[in-house]
Amino acid sequence: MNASSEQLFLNSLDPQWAWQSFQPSDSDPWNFDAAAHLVRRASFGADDARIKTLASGTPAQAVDLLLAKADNGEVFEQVSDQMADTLLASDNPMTLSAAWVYRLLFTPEPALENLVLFWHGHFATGADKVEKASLMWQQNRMLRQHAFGDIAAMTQSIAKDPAMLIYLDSVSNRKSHPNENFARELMELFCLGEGNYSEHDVLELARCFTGWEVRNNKFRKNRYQHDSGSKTVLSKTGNFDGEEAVDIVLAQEAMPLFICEKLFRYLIADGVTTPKSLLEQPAELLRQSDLQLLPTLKLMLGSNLFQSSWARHRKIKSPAHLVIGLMRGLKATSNSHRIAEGIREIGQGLFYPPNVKGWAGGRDWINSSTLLGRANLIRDLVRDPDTKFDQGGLSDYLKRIKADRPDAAIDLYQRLMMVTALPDKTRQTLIESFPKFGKDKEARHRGLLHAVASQPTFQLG
Amino acid sequence: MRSRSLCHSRLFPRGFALLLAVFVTGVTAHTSVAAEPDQELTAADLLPDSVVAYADAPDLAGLVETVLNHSVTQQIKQSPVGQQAMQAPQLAFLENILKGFEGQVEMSWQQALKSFTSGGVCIALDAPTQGVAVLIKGSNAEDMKKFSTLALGTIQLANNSLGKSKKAEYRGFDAYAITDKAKMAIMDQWLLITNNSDLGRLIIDNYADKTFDQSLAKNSRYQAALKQVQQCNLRGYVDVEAIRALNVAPEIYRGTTDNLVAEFLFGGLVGNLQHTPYAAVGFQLSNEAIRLQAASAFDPENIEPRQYFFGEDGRATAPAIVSLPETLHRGSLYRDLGQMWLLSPDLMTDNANEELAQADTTLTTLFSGRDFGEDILGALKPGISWIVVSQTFSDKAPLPAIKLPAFAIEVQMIDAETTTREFRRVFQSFVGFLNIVSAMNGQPQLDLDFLKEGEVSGVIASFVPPIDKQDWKKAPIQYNFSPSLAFSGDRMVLASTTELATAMCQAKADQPNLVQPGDNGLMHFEVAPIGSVLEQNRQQLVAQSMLDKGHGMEAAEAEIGILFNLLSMFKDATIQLRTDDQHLKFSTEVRFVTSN
Repeated sequence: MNASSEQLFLNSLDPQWAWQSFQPSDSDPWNFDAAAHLVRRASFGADDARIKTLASGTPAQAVDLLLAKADNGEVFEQVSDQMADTLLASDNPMTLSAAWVYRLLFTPEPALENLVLFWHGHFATGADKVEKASLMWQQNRMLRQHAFGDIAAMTQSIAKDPAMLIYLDSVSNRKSHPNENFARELMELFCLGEGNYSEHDVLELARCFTGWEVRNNKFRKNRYQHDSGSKTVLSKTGNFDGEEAVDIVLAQEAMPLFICEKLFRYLIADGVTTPKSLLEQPAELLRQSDLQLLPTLKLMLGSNLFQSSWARHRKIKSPAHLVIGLMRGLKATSNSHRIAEGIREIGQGLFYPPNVKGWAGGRDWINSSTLLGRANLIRDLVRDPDTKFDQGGLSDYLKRIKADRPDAAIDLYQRLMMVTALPDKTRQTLIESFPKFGKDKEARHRGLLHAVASQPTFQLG
Repeated sequence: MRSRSLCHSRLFPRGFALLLAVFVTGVTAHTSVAAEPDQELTAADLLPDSVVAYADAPDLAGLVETVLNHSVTQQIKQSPVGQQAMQAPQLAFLENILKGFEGQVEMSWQQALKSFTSGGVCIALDAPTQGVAVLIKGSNAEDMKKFSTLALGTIQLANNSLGKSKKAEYRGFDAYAITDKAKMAIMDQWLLITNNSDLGRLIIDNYADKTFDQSLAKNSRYQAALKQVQQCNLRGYVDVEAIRALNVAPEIYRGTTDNLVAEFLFGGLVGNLQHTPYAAVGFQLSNEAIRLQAASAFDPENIEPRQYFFGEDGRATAPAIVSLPETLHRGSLYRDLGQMWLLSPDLMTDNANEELAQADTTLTTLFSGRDFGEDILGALKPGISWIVVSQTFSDKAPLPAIKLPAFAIEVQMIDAETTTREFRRVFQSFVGFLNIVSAMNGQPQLDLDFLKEGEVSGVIASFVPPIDKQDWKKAPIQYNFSPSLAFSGDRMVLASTTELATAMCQAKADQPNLVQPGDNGLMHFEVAPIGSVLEQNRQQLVAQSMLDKGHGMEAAEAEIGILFNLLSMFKDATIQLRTDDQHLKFSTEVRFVTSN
């Protein structure tokens, strides 16, 4: 299917059918592959046993289980926060990237972490400009707090977030010279999208935020610098302050549509223009839920469209999904600093988005340089003897789960981490090449994993 | 009289005869073995005096026994890591090999080692032949024969050439070609392995002819060197003069460096290599300590241009070091800093000198136009000492998340009255400069104050606490420091904290003194306080382990626990450099915690 026919397919979709709960049938069964697809998109993949558990229930139960709070979530949160606090002592944002990688690898709530990554790309803030690690982590905690929940509260918080204001050159906003940066991005990138506001709205909205400052790395309102005059923002007139202005923006009809369109691209398919008609139902649900995200998430992840064969081939794995997916899929552990650095080198530095628009995603993840970089990163990680699989060697792990023959290992990798099976010829070549991948069984299995993970089809998620 | 004929079995091919012809280019007519092997004979008696590097283990079995029975080994064995290692398949494989070996030699491997190496093991490098020889002396010829047969078989097995040994006789001794280059010969209770036929022949001839006049043992340099490491378990000797003459690694003897710190610490050691005829190295292990020592011949006449390092007479002693509670490290060096600065053109490379000249200009400006080498460093007496102590942190001040120990450097001034003022002013300027840089980077600011406590005076600085007391609990790393410059008489102390500056100025020199006359430099580490500092930062270490290894918290805690257990086995460590009438001696000693 080429790009135009994909668009035609999408335009012709019946929204009612698209968002109906997925009902398994003989032609579209709820099985391991379907559960693996769900867990790859909603989180970062999972190991064989976890996917089998998810596949053993109904699709709706699987979605609920993925989005539910984990029993040991709070304990992990404490450990993880303690580790981050410790790392903050060095005030180096680069070490925070490693701390986040650790969370991604070990969190019992990977779907939540996946959404935190989504919001990090949405409310993009770069540590290269903010510099203060503590501020970056503070923002990250806030995003985690609201990731599944209240978008309104999250947007209000981001409007006062020191890291965001520093990143957008908005540490000072005087009434004599309103700073338009945050006001513009609030409407264009965070809530409404282009075409849903005017330049006049930007100017008026900026006036609402006057007096909002960052001093000594903390947000404060300078009442002497606030423009207390009347403003007209998005057709509403009054003596608005910043909080009221954010509420006005959030109340716009375009807002839920804008968020749902981004979520659609993140969870279901990128590289297509989503028709407004298709997004109206999830957007309406978001609105009716007072901008609480969870119901809309469940709708999307449990839908016919999500489980359709069309949607399964419509995403390219981000660097984080590529690496963390592989690691989680095979219960692997390694040096988090190295993973963070590797992910950054192939285009997704955690806490280091490229600009205020965040990561474009989709085909932008792949070019000749990053494709090679992806293969090299996987090679470095997989070949590193410090990378353990279920606390030991890969061959031992595969033996335990009865997948230590090369063909069985390839089958496992395909089931866990790939949407499309390898072409027969490639598969056969890999099996025949197995003895050449290394001197011993461990090296051969690691070589095989690297070879599989370097295939073009492995890049689809 | 030597014969050109070669004794060899007809069973061996012509090729082997040719091969052995290389090894054995001449066979003497009297090929008989000394009937009663000389028990006093050493490897050095057999080796030629042209040997330029030599190492031996006079009692290898004793050393292995000490290692195996050592308290540290026992503790490691009993630790979880040790237990895990004991069950490793590689260890089981090794045990099987040892059992096989014991079956072959009909004694335990410990007994075998004792028997086969009772007269010592050595390795030597000969300059003229460029050959390497290994000599092992066993307790008797019978056991040695057994051992060498087994060793030969093992080597052949490894080379996939079992039963294809090329055997010959030379001077009545069995000789084997074990690889293309390596040969092995058995001379009664001696086993010789060499990669050079000429060297091998020379050693066998010495043994057979009992001609020891030109041997290594008679070499005066060797004799002098070995005296320095007589009691060691492992000993080494290097004929530095011969190696210098061969122009091996000439950069070592160049005498100049581009690294000022390396020159400061090791310049005298490297400089001495330009002149010393020999050097000796020794390693000693006992239940109480492990010691590594090195000595080289030293002549105070040859110290120029490193008189800053050794003193004018070559025997200068480092200043005394104060002792404070919770000291984890202290050290002292004799160095005349002013002299070193002015001598730098002779000590450093051209590039380094250019950089030093620039630094000199900057520093001279900083010190109000006073010449940095002559007037500033030259105002200090030779010698520098330092100390590192663990800190205690008050809950009434910001508590840094990473807790560092405090450290201080002490020097003595020649003219305290003049110099004190100068250093005090420069310190204040430096704090001001730091404040400007910190302000530009949003970092905490330093607050300057003056110190006056009895005879101690000075300038102190402390970081202004964060306004929000919430931020005090995990304060930035800067809150480990309150940089201070303190004076007491002619003593000047630059310390990372005010407490340490004051304590160091008030403390008397260590009694009994750690530094002994003749000690050019000394560094001492106490392990228990190092453990305390690490304990203060345990959380950081655990977090780092989690990130580096992907451990969970429990596994990371366990890993850090192993580190602490390992540390608890050691008491202290000392590094010492000293000179006496004839030698420059460098030693490192690590002492273990013993039950006594």
